Amino acid sequence: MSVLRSIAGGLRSLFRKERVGRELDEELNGFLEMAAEEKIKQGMSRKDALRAVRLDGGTLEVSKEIVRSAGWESFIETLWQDLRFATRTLRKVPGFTVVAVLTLALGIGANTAIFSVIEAVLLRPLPYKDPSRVVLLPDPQDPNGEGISYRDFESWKSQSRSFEDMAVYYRNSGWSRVTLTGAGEPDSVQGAFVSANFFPLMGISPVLGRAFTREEEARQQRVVVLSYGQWVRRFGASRDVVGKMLPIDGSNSQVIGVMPANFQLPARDSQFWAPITTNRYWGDPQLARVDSTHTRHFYKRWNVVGRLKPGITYREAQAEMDTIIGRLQQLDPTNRERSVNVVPLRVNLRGNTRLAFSILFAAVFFVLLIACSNVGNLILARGAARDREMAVRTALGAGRVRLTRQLFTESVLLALLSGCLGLVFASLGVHALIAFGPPDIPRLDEASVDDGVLAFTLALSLLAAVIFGMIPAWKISQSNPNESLKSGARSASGSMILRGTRNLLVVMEFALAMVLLTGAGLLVRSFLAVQGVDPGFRSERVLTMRIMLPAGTPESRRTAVYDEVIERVRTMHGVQAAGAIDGLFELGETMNLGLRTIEGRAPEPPEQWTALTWKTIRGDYFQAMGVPLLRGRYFSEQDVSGSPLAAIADESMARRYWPGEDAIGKRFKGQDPRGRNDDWLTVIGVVHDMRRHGLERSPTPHIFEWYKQATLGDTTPDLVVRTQGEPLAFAATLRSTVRGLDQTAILSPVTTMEAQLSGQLSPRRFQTTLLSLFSLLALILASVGMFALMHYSVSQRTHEIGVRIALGAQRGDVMRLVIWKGGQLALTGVGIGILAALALTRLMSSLLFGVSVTDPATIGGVAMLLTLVALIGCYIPMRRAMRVDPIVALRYE
Amino acid sequence: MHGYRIAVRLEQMSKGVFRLNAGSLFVAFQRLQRPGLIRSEWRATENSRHAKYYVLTDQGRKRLNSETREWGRQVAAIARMLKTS
Repeated sequence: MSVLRSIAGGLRSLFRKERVGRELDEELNGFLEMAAEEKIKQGMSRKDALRAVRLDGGTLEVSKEIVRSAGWESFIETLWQDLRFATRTLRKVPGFTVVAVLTLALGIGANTAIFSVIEAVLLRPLPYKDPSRVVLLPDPQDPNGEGISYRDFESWKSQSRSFEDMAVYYRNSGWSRVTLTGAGEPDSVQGAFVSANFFPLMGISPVLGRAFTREEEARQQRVVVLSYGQWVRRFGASRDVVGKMLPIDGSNSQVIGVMPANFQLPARDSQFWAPITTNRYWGDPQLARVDSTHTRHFYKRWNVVGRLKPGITYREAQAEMDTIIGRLQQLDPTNRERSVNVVPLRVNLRGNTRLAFSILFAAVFFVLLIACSNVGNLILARGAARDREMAVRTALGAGRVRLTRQLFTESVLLALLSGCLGLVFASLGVHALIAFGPPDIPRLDEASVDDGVLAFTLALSLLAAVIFGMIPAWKISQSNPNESLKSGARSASGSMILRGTRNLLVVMEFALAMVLLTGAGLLVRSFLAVQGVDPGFRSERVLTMRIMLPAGTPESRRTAVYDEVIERVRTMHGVQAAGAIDGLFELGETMNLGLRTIEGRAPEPPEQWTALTWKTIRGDYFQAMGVPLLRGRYFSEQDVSGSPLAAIADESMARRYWPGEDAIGKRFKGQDPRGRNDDWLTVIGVVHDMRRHGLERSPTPHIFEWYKQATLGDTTPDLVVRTQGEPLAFAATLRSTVRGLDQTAILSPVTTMEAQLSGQLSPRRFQTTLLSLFSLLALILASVGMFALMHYSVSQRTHEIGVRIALGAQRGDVMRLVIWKGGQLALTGVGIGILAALALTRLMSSLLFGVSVTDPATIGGVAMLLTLVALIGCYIPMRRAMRVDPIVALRYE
Repeated sequence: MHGYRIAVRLEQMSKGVFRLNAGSLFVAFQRLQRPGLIRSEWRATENSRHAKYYVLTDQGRKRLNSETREWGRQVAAIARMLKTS
């Protein structure tokens, strides 16, 4: 009740200010008059009486001010007053305002954009039921931190008690990449092959239709739940999509549902969910001949996700899993699963992506700090000019708190204006980030400037206001109005402390810019290093295409089609070589495999196994890839199914198994569990290493075998064609030729090898581009800061320079004066920056490739660049200083 | 009573211990009036001046009683403490 009345009273004095003021005036006046009358009665003169009263109880104005400022409304009133005043002040100096707002807006905008991505990707809770109870069970020993064999999954599921349920799905790798055909161009997409309990476990149901059932999974029924994106793209978001057919790798699957847009598990690029049993590798018919369960037991092609029972902690679940694994290990020492981690399902980000985001966020914050110190410096420069204004106001009775508050209001207004402009920059930036972001970042496309981001921007703007507003506010507390008024205009050269602060700010800017540029420089060098890596093959003028034949195509037909394709393409005009392989690259896991026997040597125990890759090739694969043959011969038509088995090894393979010997003619037996036959393979050739596991990984040993001798059936779907001229001009011809040979074939889009490699670089390109962009921004801001400081300093020292010239200083001396000052600041900043960079870039070492964190060339180059930029910043002020006319300068006296 | 009279009364009653200046006095009035403990009206004084008269409201009287009681308790307590020490 009383609060309400207090508010009402306050509002009354706010809105009926004049009347309230008049009343108070009258009342106070009456008071003073009555007091005076009393004194007159006692015999004083009227004048003396009034004087005495004033001395006694203060003047009318003072009393009025005291009464007025007692209510809460005075706070609002002052704020309003300050705001209006601030607006007026800022409008009076449009140059300053524009530069300051633009500088800050760039800083705030960059921060907001990066934050909205981080918010969407990392911070926003996952859209699952009780997400904290959902855990992943990856193998910590696997280099990629995931991949489980199916047998282990089955044992875990039946033996564990901590989990409500466990679901399994194919890894988001080549195993689950398929070609969608049907209406329009064929599309090579990532699918999710999951167990039926996957959806109930995640607590997510389709927005349309239904998910598949356990029975459908058991019957290997071809049903599919579409991703929201695929539904929109392929079916135009039509509601009667349920029941339609979608050809996946040539076999029709019936659409039964559509998942919500925010469901992006296992990966952001999962385009559909189908029963795990319908994956083409599930029942690998050739393998089934050898051992029906082998694939599923030996290969680590799966990921496991579980839901903990309520009340079970991660640690308890981990302890139980450790026990189970220990028991399994005892029962079967050959079991390759040695341990498993129970980790809460967070956003499934690769460690490097997370690190890259942290670094980018730190980088944009540095940019903001530089922007703030720039603006702080501008305000200080202006503050010097406002010294007298402040002094006069202090002399007239304004308290320091009051003045500080007013200056602070100005800073906040400036920051909020910048925040608004920053939001505009940010929303543009977010669009660009989504468009250019690599596809492996989940939920990236959900990034937007939403409420959370708005709050962040507001907080950031206020933080910026505090950072750059503190400086002038602090200055006020140091200033002495007496001095300022006495010394008049000349005091504007600024106190020592003030000059020190401004120098310090510029030094800090250069130090921050140094750190950012070093980081960016290292990333750029890594990027160039990766690009410069010799992949072992020549990627120019090479086309690739995947040719799939519908499931159920007879083996003989398959062979005939592939043979025919190679034959026809090889003889086409403009083709240099054509070949094929089962899989262009191995970007996923590297399997450690052993050879059963190497002639004349004891078999290796599994502990000594290393990565080894078997590939089947057809046609002139090596010639088409441009891989040089180092020794021996290529496969030829004499290598047929009846003749002795031939193999081509790469250098790594030769070095690994026959170090110091000639590998040609050496014999070995294949890897047992994969079901190779028991015959000897003879090395007939050694080829140059290829980086088929990605440009950033060292080559691993490879064995290539000839399609006619492949025990696992003749599957070489990836066509590689080397052309004579521009490869893409050839793409359409290639497509129509293959299409003409077989109408049922499922053709992927034709791409160049260069595009494939460029795609592998996209995460690195993303990080590098962004960090470079931010450090460029930092560089520009720092040079602007240097320019502003030197410009100001020269204009303040015009008088001094004039005296120097009048006393005989040469132009060169003046030049040195300015350059020396700027250079000193820049070099100090660069020096501090180098130390900071050495400390900080260590954190990003895992993002680097082929360059050390202390790369002297990068650090030296960046230091030189910054110094150069500092000198450029000094150039115009220097010119101005050199042109100072002593007569004009001294006339200012 | 109007402002000046109140000031004088306070000074007399406290035998010159409390001498209020206009500023503090009117701030106090504002603080009391906002929650409705006193109310005011303009009237003519005995010297036919125009002045604002302040009167305790019922609510104010209640509050005064309770505050007086509380004050008495505290003063007595402090006095006791001072005596025993």
